[in-house]
Amino acid sequence: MHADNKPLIDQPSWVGRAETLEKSQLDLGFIPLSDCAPLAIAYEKGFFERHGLRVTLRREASWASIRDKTMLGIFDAAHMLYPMPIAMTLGVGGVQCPMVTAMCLSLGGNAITVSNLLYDEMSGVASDFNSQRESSARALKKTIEARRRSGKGPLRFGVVFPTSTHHYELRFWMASAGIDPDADVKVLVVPPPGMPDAMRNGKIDGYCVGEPWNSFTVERGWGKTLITKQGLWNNGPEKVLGTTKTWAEQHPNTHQALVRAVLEACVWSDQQENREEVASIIAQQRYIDAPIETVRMSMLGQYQYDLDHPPQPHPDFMSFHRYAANFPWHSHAKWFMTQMLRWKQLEEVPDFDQVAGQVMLTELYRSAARELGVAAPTINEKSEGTHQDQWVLEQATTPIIMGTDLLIDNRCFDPSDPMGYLNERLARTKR
Amino acid sequence: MTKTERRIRVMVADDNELRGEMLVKILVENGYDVVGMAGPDSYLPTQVAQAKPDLILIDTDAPTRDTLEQLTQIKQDMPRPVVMFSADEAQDTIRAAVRAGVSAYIVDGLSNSKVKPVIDVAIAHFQQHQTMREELERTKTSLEERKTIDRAKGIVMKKKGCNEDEAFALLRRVAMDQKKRIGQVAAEIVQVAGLFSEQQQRKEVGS
Repeated sequence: MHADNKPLIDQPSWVGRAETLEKSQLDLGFIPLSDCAPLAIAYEKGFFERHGLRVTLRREASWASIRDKTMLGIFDAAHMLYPMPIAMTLGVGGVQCPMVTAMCLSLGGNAITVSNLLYDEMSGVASDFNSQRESSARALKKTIEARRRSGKGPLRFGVVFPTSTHHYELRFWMASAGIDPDADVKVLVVPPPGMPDAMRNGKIDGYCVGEPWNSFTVERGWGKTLITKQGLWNNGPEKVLGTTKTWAEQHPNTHQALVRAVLEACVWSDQQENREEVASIIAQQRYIDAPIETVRMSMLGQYQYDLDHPPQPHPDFMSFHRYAANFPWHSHAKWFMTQMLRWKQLEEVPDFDQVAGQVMLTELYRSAARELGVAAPTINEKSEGTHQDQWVLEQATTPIIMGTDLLIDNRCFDPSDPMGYLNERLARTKR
Repeated sequence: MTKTERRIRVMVADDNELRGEMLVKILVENGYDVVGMAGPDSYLPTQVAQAKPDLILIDTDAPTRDTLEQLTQIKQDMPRPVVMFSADEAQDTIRAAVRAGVSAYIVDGLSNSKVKPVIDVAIAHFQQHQTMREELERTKTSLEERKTIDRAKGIVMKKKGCNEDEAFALLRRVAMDQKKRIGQVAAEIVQVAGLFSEQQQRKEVGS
């Protein structure tokens, strides 16, 4: 362990407790994306070892593989898309398996990028949408209408997985301008590292993906980013550390130790002074395997939308700990359930409270945070779309500074009435 | 399989072309109808829509796997829903399959009893292929390692002015002291020697 990597508290209470771990050798799966950083850092900086764990990180080529290997117990836990444990628990997508998560790994990190061809088409029908990024969806709407009049085929957009944040974000963005993603465009699944090539080869016209696969396209001049996740949902949650309910029940102490180790890594990775090192670690072949310049910019809090404009400050592009980022909010799980219903992946209305309570292990997070001396929320839910400035969460072990939480459709999400939120949307868009 | 029964239509998707072709051959020999083979450049959902297989066998670690996932959605353009591993009783078969490196997507309506034998064939084949590859890898490493050890011996002989046996004894002693394999020590010696000769050359060029 490096000298600069000092423990959060001086005399950790878990020292000498390794013998109580049900299991100490763990296999964890991850996908080569910038937000695999907490796992990579926990490994590289010795946080796993500090908590008595010997971890092997396994890089996977697909989310389906992450899901299946975790479900089958080949992995103990994995880097997962936020909605994945919820979807698996509900049986959305053909696989049904009760899942849990005790911590979120990151906020933000995604963007919607289109080909130069589509960008020019959009500029032709709607000028100036690049300075007003929230208007990009309206420009796309006009483009779709113009294409329809001239008899051109539907535009094709790539997302990484049916139950991915990216899929819901792309649809949320389109729907905010009255585009019907099922009727007006084609949405295809493309693996994240394959996105830039798929667009360059004309198989898709745009995509929503996590970093570094937007920067990768932008810096090569192959396309332009229209909007980042921050513009769709300020500080929206992105990835979780997921495992099966069975594994969690069989390994309560190991699960605790794992959450502590990864939480320490999140705290460390979130600090600006460590970001340069985070970038150089995750760019390596055994993690993302991408040029350091591609990974670096968004990690350091800047983002370049296209080569015609200089990089812009984007301090909250991707967060690993600030704003209570790691807390597994029940309300976030509920928001994703409304999206599964909205886009008809889920046919029946689920018991929102029961599912959120079963999947999001808030108590486990709190006890891990307490042992590390990290502040944790004492409530399980918060509204979204109500804070346009930073605010202070008083319902916490010590007050926590929270980020903005606006949604692109300028509406509020009240977690006590998820169906009210959904019905309002369905009424407005006739979907 | 009786002749009156409709043959099970299988699609094989494998980025490893040779392995995929072999699997197709074995499946055909076992009486299955192979309706398509997809490689890394195929867009699977389109192929599935055209070929209408009952079962898709795919390399567990293929990046293209996620593209199949959209077929499992309720709302989609494909002619038939595809459900993967829907029944719990198949859990053991599935685990064995994924461990062996093969995943199966089962089109709705095909019973587990029909699927299991096909998957078993695929598992056996993937495992056999894996063993062959490991064997090949081992042979290759030991050959390469022997070459490196020979080169390191040559370097030591030249530097120390000793014979071959003495050079090998020295390598072995260093390896034991450092708790490394002889091959590792040899590789390090060759690497360092390469560095020096490079510097030597650069100096020569510079002067």
